[in-house]
Amino acid sequence: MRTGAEDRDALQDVYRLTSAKLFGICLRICGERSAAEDVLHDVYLTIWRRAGAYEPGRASPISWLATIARNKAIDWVRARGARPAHPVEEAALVADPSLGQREIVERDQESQRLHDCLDALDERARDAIRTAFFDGATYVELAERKNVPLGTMKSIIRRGLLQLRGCVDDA
Amino acid sequence: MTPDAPDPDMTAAELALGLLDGEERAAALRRVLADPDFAREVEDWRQRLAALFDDYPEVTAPESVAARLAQLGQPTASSPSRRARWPIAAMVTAIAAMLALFVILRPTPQIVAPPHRVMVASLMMSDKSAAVPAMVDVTTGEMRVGGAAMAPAGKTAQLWMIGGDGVPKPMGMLASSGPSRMMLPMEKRHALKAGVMLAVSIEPLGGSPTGLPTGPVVASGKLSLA
Repeated sequence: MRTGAEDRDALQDVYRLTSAKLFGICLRICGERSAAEDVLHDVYLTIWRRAGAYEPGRASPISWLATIARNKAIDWVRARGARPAHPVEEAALVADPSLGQREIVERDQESQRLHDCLDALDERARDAIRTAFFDGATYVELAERKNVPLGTMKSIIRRGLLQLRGCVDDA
Repeated sequence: MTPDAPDPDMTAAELALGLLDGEERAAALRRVLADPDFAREVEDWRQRLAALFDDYPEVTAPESVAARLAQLGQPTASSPSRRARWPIAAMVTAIAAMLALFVILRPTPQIVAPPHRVMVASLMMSDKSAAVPAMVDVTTGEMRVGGAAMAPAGKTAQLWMIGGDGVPKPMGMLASSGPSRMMLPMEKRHALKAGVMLAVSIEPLGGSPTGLPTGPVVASGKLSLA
């Protein structure tokens, strides 16, 4: 029978290995530290409760955890209804590149392929898709930020995504 | 591109990326539930886009969150019963183990020795109550199975592998409590491949007397590459 202490140790291991990456995600999307801390806490509670939903062999564990963090942070932003003006700058200011966890994020082949394919898109599509991913921005928000009609933004992104899929799957 | 051509339908990508909101998002989520092909497409997009997680900068997380989480495993009056909690803790352990391996095994050009080949399986209990993690290092033959009290008193839980020939081959006995660790001999290591089924049967103490499972199968799952 497992002890409570063993259980805690396992979660602390997960935390030690992943918290800088997941906090980076929460901070970038939430745009403010105190909210990002609350979301991060919520992320690990979810991992604790939903660990059974993780299917080994499907996605890498770090991708699974990162997806949970990104979704939770997006939920927080959307529930609040407004977005801070400069989320990017604050996240960049507090980024600490001297961390010992960097080996987790070095690019493997698959990752390199996606990045190459993104680079091959025209600038507007690439920029919009990256912003959608990193900031968790919707079509409506992207159209407002870039000051283009919603339909135009949708077209740019849809065509970009189609090209991206073709490129990644062909490589 | 012609300006008048209709946009391609990229709803799966739009959902995975988080571009949709309101009714559009709700409709896409309903489609995930109703249409398995669409659900698979969304999952494929998630996996394609997962490469972008590399680009988020890492930021040291505050100590306060770790401290709050440290309280989690503490037994309190309101915590769920031990029985309800252990499979979840076991899965967290499995994730921790795989993350540690993920870091170690991540291919880097500097590594001279070949990396260890590791396979994992999630052994689903036959009553679907929990999944027990199993990992095997094919290079060293070390096999680990998460703790789970599967056998009733006076019986033992025995682990089997079933490969392409369909014949179960004994791998070892599981501990009556806590995680199990065993070393596999060379000939069994060679047979470990993705798709090989692992199964646990309930046997008399000391293991099956016949060399084949004699009792009910209580958990099973397929091996896949870690």
